[in-house]
Amino acid sequence: MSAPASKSIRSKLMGVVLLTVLAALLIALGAVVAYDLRAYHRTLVADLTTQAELLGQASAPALAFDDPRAAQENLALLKFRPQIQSAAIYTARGQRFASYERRGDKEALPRLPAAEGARIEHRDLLLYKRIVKDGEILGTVYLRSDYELYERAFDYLGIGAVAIAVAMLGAWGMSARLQRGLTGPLASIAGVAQRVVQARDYSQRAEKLSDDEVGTLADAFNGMLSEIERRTRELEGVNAALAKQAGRLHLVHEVDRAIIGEAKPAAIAGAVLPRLRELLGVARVVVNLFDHEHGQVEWLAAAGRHRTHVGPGVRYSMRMMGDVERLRRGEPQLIDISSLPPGPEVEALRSSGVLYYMAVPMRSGEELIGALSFGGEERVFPEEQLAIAREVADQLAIAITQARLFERVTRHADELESKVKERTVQLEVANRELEGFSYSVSHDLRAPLRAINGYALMLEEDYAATLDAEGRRLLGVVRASSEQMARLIDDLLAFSQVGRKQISRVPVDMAALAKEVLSELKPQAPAHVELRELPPADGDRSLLRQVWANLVGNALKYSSKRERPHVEIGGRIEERERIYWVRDNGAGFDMRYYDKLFGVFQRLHRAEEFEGTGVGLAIVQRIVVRHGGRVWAEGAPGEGACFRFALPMEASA
Amino acid sequence: MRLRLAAMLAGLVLTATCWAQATEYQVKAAFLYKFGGYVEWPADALGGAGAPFTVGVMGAEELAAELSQITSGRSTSGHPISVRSLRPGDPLEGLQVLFVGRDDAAHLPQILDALHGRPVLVVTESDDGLPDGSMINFVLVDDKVRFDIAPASAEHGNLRISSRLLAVARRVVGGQS
Amino acid sequence: MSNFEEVEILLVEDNTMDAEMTQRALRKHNFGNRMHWVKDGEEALDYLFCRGAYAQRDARRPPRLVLLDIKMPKVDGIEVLRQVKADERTRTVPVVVMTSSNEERDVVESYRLGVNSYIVKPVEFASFLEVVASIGLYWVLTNRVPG
Repeated sequence: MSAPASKSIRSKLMGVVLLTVLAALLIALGAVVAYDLRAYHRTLVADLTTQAELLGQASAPALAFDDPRAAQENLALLKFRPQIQSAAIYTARGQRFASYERRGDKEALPRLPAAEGARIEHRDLLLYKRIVKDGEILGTVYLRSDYELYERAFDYLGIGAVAIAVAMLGAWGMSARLQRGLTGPLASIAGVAQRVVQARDYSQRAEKLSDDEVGTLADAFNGMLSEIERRTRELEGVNAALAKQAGRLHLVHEVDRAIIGEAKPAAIAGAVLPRLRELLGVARVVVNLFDHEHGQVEWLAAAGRHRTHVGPGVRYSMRMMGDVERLRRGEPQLIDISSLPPGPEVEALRSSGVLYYMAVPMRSGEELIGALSFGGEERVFPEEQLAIAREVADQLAIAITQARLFERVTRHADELESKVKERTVQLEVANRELEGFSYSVSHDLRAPLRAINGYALMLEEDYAATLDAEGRRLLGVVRASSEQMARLIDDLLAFSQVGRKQISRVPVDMAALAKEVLSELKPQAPAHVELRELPPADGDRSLLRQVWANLVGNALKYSSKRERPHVEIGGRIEERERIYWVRDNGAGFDMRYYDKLFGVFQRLHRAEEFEGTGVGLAIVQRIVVRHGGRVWAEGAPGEGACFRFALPMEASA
Repeated sequence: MRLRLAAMLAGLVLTATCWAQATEYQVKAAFLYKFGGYVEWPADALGGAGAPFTVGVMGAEELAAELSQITSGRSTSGHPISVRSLRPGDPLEGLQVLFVGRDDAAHLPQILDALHGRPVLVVTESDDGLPDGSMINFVLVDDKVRFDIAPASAEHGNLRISSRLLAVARRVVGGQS
Repeated sequence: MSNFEEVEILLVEDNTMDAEMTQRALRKHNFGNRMHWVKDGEEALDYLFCRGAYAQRDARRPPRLVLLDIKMPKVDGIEVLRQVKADERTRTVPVVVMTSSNEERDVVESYRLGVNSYIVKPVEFASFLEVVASIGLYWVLTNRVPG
């Protein structure tokens, strides 16, 4: 009764039964009433018609011979028909000839007869009937009768209501009995189902109360329960195994993460051990590192029931780890503390609940770096437990090795860094010295040169008359030499400046730059210059201008002695760099001396042929290299030369 | 003026009397012809289908005229109605109904003798009608035309008078047989 | 040409030989008469601001042009330039810096301090004379001190 499901079914069943009964009764009652009322109406009309006919026939002579008394007597006979309220006979002319009232109510009679037939008026049935004799209408009979259709209908309604009430009561009683047989067992099953869901107790069984479908349902339900019980048990087993597996994986993963995170070995061991102890289900787990030199073992970390120790400080003899040689071969060692020589370590083990323990080797390659030991009061260590311990021990070995390597690398890196710093300071000092040197060279060296040159000129101007031709020639040599030396100094300074200068990187329109350089140099040279398309570059505009000035200057210079000097300037975009070139049909060079081409003060032509200091190409190379690019050339004596340089697409210097 | 008014009033009274008189004949004429529907003649007395149903009227010219008027074109029980005006001594063959007016009431016994039991419905309007042997006798009751019936006399002439007619009679004289 | 009497060029040069060559060049172009030569920066500042040996000089008559060597003992050319350009009285005096090298830091600093022109002394004396003469002529002829 308390189960809502059964309650619901009960009320539904009851509702269905009662509704069905009600509907059947209503339809039957409706049909009966309709039929009866129709029959009543017809019968009444037929009866009254007959009555009227009889009256008419009986009264025809009275009418014919104008004897209202006789007609009146005929009508008076109607007193034996109590349902007839009133009656009248009219002459053929429509005058009332005779009349009859049960209650003496004359006003109710119509003054004139209406058309033949029956009609209903105020719960009365009115009937007019012509009196015909020998085809002649003699008059009309009028009858007014009680019409009890509504009374009859109300009577039926009352009877119907009582009948329905009785039928419903019977139906209710019957279905209640039925339900006890049907929903009772269902409710019992529902109750069991509820208890199963709430208590998760699959051992409950539903009681079989009958052999019908509900009984079958109970059987099926019980079968299902036992199946669920079996599966739940299986699932629980699998879940437990899975949880263990997940814990194991998680631990290994933890160690991996620690390795990747370059954590310290002690931190790794400290984080992993408490979990490992739980997973293994032992009293104590220790990570021992071996100090082979001293024949000792040192704790890296240890986890007991109540606390976890992390860090060095606890040392004891390596004998505690069993046969070290076997450990080295990868064989775990089972140690019975009663077989160990007595001492404080053994006592400590005993007091922490460890009577037997297993030492699992931790090896990195061939090296035995330590052992993972764990144990308790049990002498037996299951295979699965050992497998977990081995796995974690291997991971820890890797982690420790990695961490040690990382430490070493870090130390090296630190050393390197300090060395680099030292060297940088030295370099900076050297650079400053070099700068000072070049500064003083530019000023101090040039001043006497200027004086030599200037005073030679003064001598030439003021004392030209007192000097003979040879004296003047010698003075000329002095001046020319001083000028040459000044040029050498200038070029050398320019070269050293390129090395020291900070390089800025901006987009440079190489075509405009080359055109600019050409317009400065071209007027002095006879060559025909072909300027092709040049892709833009990124770099230091003034330095790149220097490159073009030197290369184009060289090309103009070395081709100047040709009959038809020709210089071509061009460029193109490659995949990762932009290549530019300057080609001439001038003196060219011998590829055998290519090595000297870009050296400082290296010249492949005599000064008498082509003037120059031999610094221009060295400057070009230095600038291009500082831009992260490269310079190269090809040529042959008397056949011209082609100098190319490439600049990288992206700023990488 | 006064004279004229009196003349008018007198005229009115006169016409009313005439009308009432006429009505009496008219009613009696109608009754005569309607009696046919409630009296049964022997089968041979009516003749075949289409044979006239003859009403003889003696001593009541006006009634005869009236009857002729109202029955012209009518029939009773399938026989066309004809009216014959008679005088005393006229032959009485072929009659179904014979009305003997007040004026000729004295001749009634002779007439009845002459009929000698033939199936003729004899109707009279005199006080001695029924005792003399008439079958139906008109009387005036409260200025209304009523009639008395003597079924025994009718039976004498082999006629059966319907009980429905008897029901509307003022008086039924004598026993049924 | 009538203004030549008022032309005054201050040559600041510690190198006697350079100074001699400069004077010779200016003389050749008729600027020599009104030229005054000081041998270092300190003396140049004394002259310009009428101090020390030049205390009696009329400060209201600054030179029309200063030819200034950069590299000098004690007070160098850059310092002289700085003081000249920082003082209300001398700020409008054109200063041409002469140096034996085009060391970048000197050039940048000079322009930052407001130098009017900058020349690298060529070794070739003839061209040096040309430069000195043209610079002097340009500034003396075209730039007039206001007032």
